[in-house]
Amino acid sequence: MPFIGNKPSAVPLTSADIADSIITSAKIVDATIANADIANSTINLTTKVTGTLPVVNGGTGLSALGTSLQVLRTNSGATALEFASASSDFVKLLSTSASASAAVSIDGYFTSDYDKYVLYLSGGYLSSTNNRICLKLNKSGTAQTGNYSHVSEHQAGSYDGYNSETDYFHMGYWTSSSRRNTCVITIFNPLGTTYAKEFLWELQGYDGAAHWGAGGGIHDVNSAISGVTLLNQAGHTLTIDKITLYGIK
Amino acid sequence: MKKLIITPQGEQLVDLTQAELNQMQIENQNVIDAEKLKQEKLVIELANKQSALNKLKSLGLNDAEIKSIIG
Repeated sequence: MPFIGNKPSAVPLTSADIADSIITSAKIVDATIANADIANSTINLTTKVTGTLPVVNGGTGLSALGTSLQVLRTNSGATALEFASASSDFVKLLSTSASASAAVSIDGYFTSDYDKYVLYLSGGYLSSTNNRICLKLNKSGTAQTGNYSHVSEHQAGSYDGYNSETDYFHMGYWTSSSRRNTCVITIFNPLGTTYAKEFLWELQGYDGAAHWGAGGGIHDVNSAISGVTLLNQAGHTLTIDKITLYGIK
Repeated sequence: MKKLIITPQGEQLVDLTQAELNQMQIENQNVIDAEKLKQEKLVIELANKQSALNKLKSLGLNDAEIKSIIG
């Protein structure tokens, strides 16, 4: 509109001259809002963002959750993250302890899910020092007697010799509570019914000198076993700080 | 005497059965008997060895000569 007469001098525009909430996005030049224009700690990440944050920006590059019990991992090409089932080839089935028991039966853990089992005994001792730690096999929950055949070497200060017990596996010697003892037992194919049951073990103890024992044997019965029983043949009680059983596919 | 039974359903401390106690007694006696037999064999072996040494010495061999033939 043409202007006639005195022209008022120009004054700067202030925020008071603009009514609240009237500046539309269209009035703002694209790509001009800078980081400094945004107040700290104000962006609502649950509603104000879209798209998928890539790994290079600290995201996952994924837009959907995996299925039950899957884990996040790098894919085989090491190019992206992905959800995948965790390996179940080696699974912990039991973690417990035993206190001053004349026998400890671990039963009911063998299933068709696993072929082999490893039983770890740590922090173990007997109520009387320098005595045998023995292993029996359970059938339907009952420790079996007879048909054990094994070779077990026990080394302390000197060679201790071949062992020929048939009512249990004599794995070695444990001390009383002044020291702690350990043992690892591998059980092969406990549910098989075609062959005798196969076992391997290794043991550390102390019987006046550092003691180590190792052995292997079979229980010469083909039927499935349900578990194992640990004991001392003289009834000295066992305490085991940690009993851990793993299943292996 | 107690037996700790550990299963996926839980843990239970029970008394050993009379059969288990009897079996334990048998197995322990076997160990005692085997140890006694081992000791008896050892005593006989030592006596035989000493007897053999005495006989060799009575033939006039000294300790070094005996050692050279028996190691």
